[in-house]
Amino acid sequence: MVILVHAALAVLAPAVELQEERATHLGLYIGTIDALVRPVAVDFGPAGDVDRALWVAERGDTVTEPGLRALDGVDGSLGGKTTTARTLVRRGVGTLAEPSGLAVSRAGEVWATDSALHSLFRFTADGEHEVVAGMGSGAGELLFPEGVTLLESEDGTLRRVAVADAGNGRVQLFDPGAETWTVLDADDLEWPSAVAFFGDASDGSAASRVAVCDASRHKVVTFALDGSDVQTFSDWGPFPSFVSSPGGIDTTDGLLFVSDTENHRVQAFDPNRDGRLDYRFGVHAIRPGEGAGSFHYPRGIAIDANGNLMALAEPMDGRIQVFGRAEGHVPKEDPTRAGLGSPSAHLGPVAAASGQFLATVSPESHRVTIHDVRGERPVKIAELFGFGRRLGALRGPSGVWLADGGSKLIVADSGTRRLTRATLRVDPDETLRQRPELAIYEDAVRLDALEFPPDQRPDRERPWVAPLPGAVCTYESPNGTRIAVIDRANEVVLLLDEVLDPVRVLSLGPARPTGLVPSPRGGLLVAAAGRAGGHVFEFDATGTLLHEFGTDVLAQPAGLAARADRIWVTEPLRDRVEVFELTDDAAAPPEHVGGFGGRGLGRKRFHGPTDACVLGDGRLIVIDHGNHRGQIFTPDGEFDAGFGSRLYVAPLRAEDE
Amino acid sequence: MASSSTRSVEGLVVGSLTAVVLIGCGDVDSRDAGDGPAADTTTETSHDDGPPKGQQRATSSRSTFDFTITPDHGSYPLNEPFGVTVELFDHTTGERLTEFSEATIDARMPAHKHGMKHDVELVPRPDGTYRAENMLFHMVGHWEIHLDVTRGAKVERAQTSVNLEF
Repeated sequence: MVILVHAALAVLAPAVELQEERATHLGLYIGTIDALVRPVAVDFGPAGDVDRALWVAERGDTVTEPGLRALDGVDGSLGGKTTTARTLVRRGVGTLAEPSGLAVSRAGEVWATDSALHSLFRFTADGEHEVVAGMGSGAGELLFPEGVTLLESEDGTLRRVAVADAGNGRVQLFDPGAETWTVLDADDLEWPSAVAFFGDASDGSAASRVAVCDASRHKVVTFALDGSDVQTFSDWGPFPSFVSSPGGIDTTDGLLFVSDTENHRVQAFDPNRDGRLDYRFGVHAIRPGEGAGSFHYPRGIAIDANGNLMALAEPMDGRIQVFGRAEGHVPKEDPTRAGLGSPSAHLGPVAAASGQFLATVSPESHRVTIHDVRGERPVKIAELFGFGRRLGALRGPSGVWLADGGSKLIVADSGTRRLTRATLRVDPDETLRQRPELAIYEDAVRLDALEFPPDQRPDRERPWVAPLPGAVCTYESPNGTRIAVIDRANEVVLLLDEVLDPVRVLSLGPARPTGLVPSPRGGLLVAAAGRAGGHVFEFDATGTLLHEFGTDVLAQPAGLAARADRIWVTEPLRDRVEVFELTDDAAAPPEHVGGFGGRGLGRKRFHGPTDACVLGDGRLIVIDHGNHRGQIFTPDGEFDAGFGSRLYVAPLRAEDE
Repeated sequence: MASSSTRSVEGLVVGSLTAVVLIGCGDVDSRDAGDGPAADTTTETSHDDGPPKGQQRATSSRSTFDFTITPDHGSYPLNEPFGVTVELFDHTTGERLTEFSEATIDARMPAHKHGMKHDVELVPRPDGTYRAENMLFHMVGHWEIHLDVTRGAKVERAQTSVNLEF
């Protein structure tokens, strides 16, 4: 949302008076715009001749390219219906790779961040564009930028552009007039995901503060435009006033409306009363596709200049829900939709299996779940780790690996940029039971504090930045066991030895690594996504690139699984699993032999399958992340069983009836 | 600064207490047997010429350092603050460990997924030992004591454990 100075003056009155004056609240569901392709950010603003269009940043898929889209007719006329909206104009198609933030000025300029290109773009009203900031960690440089917002004067002069510079753990303010940047890293921001300008009622200044959602620390931080007077509120948790990975923020009525992504709701905080919760609305969508005020990982949020409309983007469900005003200072309580509960323990997105254990990651609860897989279906026996910074705690689990019969666990944490190792107590004769003391946390290493030799870094124009860990695995090299971990920031694979010292960097050219697994032939398989499609790279045990395969089949692969003669690659955007077989010719790349999938809830149907792994008995597990479940397939490829959320597993079982 | 949960537990009654002291060795191979803390070994250390009563010694997970921990008064009380004296040694040379950037102490109950009710700090003393004051085991059950040493990019843990029983 664009903050206008005159609009901000409206919030100068004491908060209590505001409450009394405010006869309505924002939060009445009025309709849904669907058929969008992973919409992550929204903003209201002009597009062509339309004064108030709804702009949306879409991540795209294998059919629709990523870009920006202005939609018409997003207003009270939606009448509670779900509908598509007419596209007025598109921007950034062919330019943007992974749009992550969006803000529109009164003059129709569109500012967009791109987390894959690590850049801030400005699109003029006539469609021209320029890169305002590129990749790096200096002033005016960005790393995984997310939210962006604008501060304009009443005459339309653009005063500041605020960018949530997530990968650098800071907010940057751009002054377009002076063309200067101010770096604000107040209160140890870790992963700022969204920003908003707002007024400060206490000193009479207008739109003089910045509010930031920190998705890693699960807090809202506010400070003055010069970075002073820092105030922080909220914390991680499911209860009212707590947040979990907040992914969007905007303001009206003197309140900060936070898209509480992993709690599946919107919360309205009063920044002038120490961040006290004013009200909340929305509950977790339980049934597949459920909406009309039920949310599924809401992210970008925008409120129009009049404060009468709110749009909320839900990338996983390809939709935007729209809300208007309703009678009363706060929503009426609905006891059947209280919205309370424990942290949602969704399955995935990554998993690993070895011996009698299956490890899945639950990012929302910052835990790694250990399942016993000696029976027909996995049975949860332990929840390891938890939210925190100490050894044995996580801020953002991004990779998991099990080895040595399940006794060795490695977890990658993008929040602390750390790898943690633990020993699991394995006993094949153990009676099936809960085992809360299963793990001993042993050691950890901060990847951003390791020195990888400059001559091993890829020869690119982009700078080397602090590594951000993703998927992790181990494999055997001639010189011993190697830990391979994807570095999402530098788009390489980092190799460490058994004492966690850096060994080598594996470069994949311009492709972005997404998943890895030991190769059945020794060495390493790495899945990667590029602008032109997907690949799997096969390295031998010495780290020499042997093959690149799957290019004609894969779009944006995510996870990998492998056993003696077969490799499976998950494709979240296509809801498919592609299958490759090793040939008798050891020098030849694996051959594509088929695949299965498609969007849906039935057997061999998926919603964004993010990873896969193979159990000791040869069965394949596919992490059906968007459907909150896993599907198990026999070594012959037949559906065997499902596990996970009961409502999502039920359709799998129903096919037996 | 060590970290711990701030979860509050009230209403415990301190009864007659038995503290079974257990040691968790950092040697990974020796940990794999049994369901309790690996290499847990009961130690009753109250010899005149031996280590102080209640002292435990453990080796870190990668066998790079050892530590001893000695509770004040030789035992761990239930639901009463206590202090501990900690010494750190290089595992290879046996000399005091000096090359590290940070050492922290924490205690947790893995079965309950929580730790102590507040953080405690490990404070160096002129004689080369460390003190942690105001530790509190507020529940009966199995407590793990974690000693984490940070050197450069790496942090490594040694741990002992204690079973508090009525």
